[in-house]
Amino acid sequence: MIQHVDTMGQFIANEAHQKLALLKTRTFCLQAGFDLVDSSKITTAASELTRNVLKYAGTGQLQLVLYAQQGKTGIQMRVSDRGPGISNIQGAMADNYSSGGSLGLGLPGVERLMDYFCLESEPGKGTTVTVRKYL
Amino acid sequence: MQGHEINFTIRISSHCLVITPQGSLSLAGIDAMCQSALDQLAQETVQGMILDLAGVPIIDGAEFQALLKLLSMGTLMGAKQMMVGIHAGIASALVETQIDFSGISFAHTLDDALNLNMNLNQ
Repeated sequence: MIQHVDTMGQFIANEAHQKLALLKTRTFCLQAGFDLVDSSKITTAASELTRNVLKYAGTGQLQLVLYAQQGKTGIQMRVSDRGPGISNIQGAMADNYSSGGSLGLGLPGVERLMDYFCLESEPGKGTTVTVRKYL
Repeated sequence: MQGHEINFTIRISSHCLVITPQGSLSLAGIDAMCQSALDQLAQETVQGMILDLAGVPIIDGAEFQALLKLLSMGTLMGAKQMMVGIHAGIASALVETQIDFSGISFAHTLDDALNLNMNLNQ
């Protein structure tokens, strides 16, 4: 059984919203008990994912949940949008792939930063990335 | 996308241009900081350019690439460049970027960087 301990959400439509989301994410992680290194990893992942939202979809949202399940505590972050979606998921998950001139980590980099990674996307309907980090 | 200004200072210390951003970064803000730094570099005689990131809590891959571009421009203008003060958490995340760090010098603190620069110029 999953027990939600705390939640945080942020609508993202511009860079100011994105920065606010990142500051909230970092604070949320530190308060949850993650150390500075893991808090920075989670925040960097949030930065990459929300930058993608602004670049490809224009608007979206970031949700953070601190949860406990079978004695394990973790943070689940879900970044979703209703943008154009990803037509080539396999390509998007390959290193050095970018369809938007991105210079960032890319989705593979986000996957490496986190303990769990799930990408759901449908062309024309949007994209949702769910990642988790365990304490 | 709406631009997001960043707070930064630029000063000269021990013949080095020291650029110190504070708080959260943005690509547009880094561009503005870059322009100010290059203007100063063109006007002053300095031997080095140091980017002090101790006051920056979050840097993602795209922002780090933009900062590297700033240092590269400084190198083209004849200044040795160094990056200092990167937080441990940011470092651990940036190693995942597969960015080529080979041309960059790093130091732990600003004092270390200034001492290194003085030693290199002796």
